[in-house]
Amino acid sequence: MRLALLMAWNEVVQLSRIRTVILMLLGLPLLLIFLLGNALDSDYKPVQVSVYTGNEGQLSEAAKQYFASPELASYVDPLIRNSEDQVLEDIKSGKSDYGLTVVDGTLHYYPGKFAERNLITESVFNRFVADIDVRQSVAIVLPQLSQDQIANSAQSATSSKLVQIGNLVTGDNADFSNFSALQYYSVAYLVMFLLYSGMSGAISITEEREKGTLLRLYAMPVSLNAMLAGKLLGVLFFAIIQSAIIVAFTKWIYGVDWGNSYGGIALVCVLVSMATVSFALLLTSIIRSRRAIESIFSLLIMVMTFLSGGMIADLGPSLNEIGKFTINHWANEALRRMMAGGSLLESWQFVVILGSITFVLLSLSLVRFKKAVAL
Amino acid sequence: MTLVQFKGVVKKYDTTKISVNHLNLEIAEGEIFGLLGPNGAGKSTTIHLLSGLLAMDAGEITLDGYSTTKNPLEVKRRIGLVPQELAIYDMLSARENVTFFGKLFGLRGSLLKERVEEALAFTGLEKYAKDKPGTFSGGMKRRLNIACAIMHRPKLIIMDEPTVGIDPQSRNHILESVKKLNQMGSTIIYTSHYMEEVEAISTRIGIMDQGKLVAHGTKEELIEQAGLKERLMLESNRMTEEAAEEIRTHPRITSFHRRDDTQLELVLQDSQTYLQDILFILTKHSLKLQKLTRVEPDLESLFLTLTGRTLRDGV
Repeated sequence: MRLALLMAWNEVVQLSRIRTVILMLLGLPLLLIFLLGNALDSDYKPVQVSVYTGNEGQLSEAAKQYFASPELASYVDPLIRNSEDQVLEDIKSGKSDYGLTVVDGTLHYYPGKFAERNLITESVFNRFVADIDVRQSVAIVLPQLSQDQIANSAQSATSSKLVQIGNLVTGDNADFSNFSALQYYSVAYLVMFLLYSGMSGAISITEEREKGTLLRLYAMPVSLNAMLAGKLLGVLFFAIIQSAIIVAFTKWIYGVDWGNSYGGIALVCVLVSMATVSFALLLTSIIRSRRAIESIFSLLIMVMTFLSGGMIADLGPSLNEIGKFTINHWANEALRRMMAGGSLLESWQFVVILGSITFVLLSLSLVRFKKAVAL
Repeated sequence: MTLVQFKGVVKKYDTTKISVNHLNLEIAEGEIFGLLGPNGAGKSTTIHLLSGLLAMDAGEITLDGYSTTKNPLEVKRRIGLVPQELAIYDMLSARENVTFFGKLFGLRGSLLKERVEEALAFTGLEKYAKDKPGTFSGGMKRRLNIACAIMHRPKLIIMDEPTVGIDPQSRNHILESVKKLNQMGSTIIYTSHYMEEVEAISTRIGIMDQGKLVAHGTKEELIEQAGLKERLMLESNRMTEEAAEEIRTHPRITSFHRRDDTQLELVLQDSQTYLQDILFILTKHSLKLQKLTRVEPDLESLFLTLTGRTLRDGV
């Protein structure tokens, strides 16, 4: 164990002194998530809506009250205007995404340039109209009620979610119906970059073989198991740090909800790293050139990430089925279930399959690596 | 006392190529054993088998009584391998490199520190202990390569072509280091295709060619075994056919080679007595001696005699 820890420490010290490795393992994931996060984040910025209600009595009041309600603040940012012309000018200049006027007791909609934003706004307006309809119905059916009572009745009749955004997961799995795009991609990128950590392990071994240090290590009183354990621990160390940074960064900066099962997330990350390092060892026992390993590994990571839906959420039934043959798929599924509030136990079947893949790859790599000498 | 023993060792890389062919060899404690041969002769394979880096197909190797197959870790503890490649970490300083390998050999605490400093001082790198190998010259890297192999004071130090691609000054430093290490008690196996290096430091020499150990012994023993004689290089102002023929047929001439119109290469038995006859032949044919050189038998001529080719042919 002491020798394995020594080997691991040597690995960590060396990797930590290579700027490109630090950049690839820690900098790049944060940069990508930052870019992606900003892109996805724009969907959630409240739609700027210019509103002119004039002096149309109850309808104007109702509109003002509705747009001032805190539930809407996440989706709509109303800009109260004094004339219909101002609203039109806001839309033309791009100052607002959408316009709404109440003139002569009629609602007028002025859609903007962005279809998604129009959709969100119209959804909100439709709810408003429905609310008005309910109030009118209540007032007609129950004329003895006060205005407040009518408002409460209307609210209870329409109190459901206003808009649902970013539900990218399709299919028959109801657990993920409230899943956000940022959550989805945070998981996909976390797994992808854990695979890259494994690649750094493969590169490290190939470099050691090319430089001759692997030969020197073989000639020392160190068992092969201790050497492999050292390499594995070294890469795992970086993988854990990388995972912790990605989880913390996405949680604090973008408010990504990772659920409460942090132990389960750590376990999945460790399993993914172990599977990848094992695969890396297997690959280095067959392929000797560092350049070839880098190319093949990068290609495999991209293909696996793509097939597991890490780039496009729904690839269609055929590709989704193929995606089940990737490490990413099982890791993603386990992590997303934990994100959705599930515990490790609730994700057990995915974790078990991931663990089995890891076990098989590790066993194969041990057998293969023992046969493949450093020379 | 025998430290290393090879008994009928065979290593095949495939069915057609035998890299080490039934090697039988004993190396005594305290020796500097020079293993000489061209590239591809089987030198590196032999030392890789001894170091436990390769599995042999037949035979047995023991070091200090421990079998390389049955007790590989005990064997490895007694070996310090200086590989042909610069097996050092560029991201670690010289001291960190030596310390890391020292720890793998089980050294700890003050003993580790002491041995690391000793190895750095021995290889003349104490001033550069904090520097990374990337800033070192080729010779300094080679010396660090050695420091990483000797800090645990191994019984056997194996040096595989340790002077490849370095300047003469560093080469001399390394050769002197080898002698010092030997004086300090280590047995050394030194492989090279530079015969002058092997000749300069070895107490015994083994000559390998095409996987076989063609001969081994001290230089004198090898020359004696091969029946090599001192050669005379004789140069005159010119050389007539008659004079050359008369010299060739002298009863004490055992080897005659006319190099060109002025030079002859001869092996003359009992030359101290019969050289005068050769000089008289030159005078008789009105030829004037311009240069006479005695050439002692060397490893190059020995290798040529034993294998039918020069060392450089295979390099």
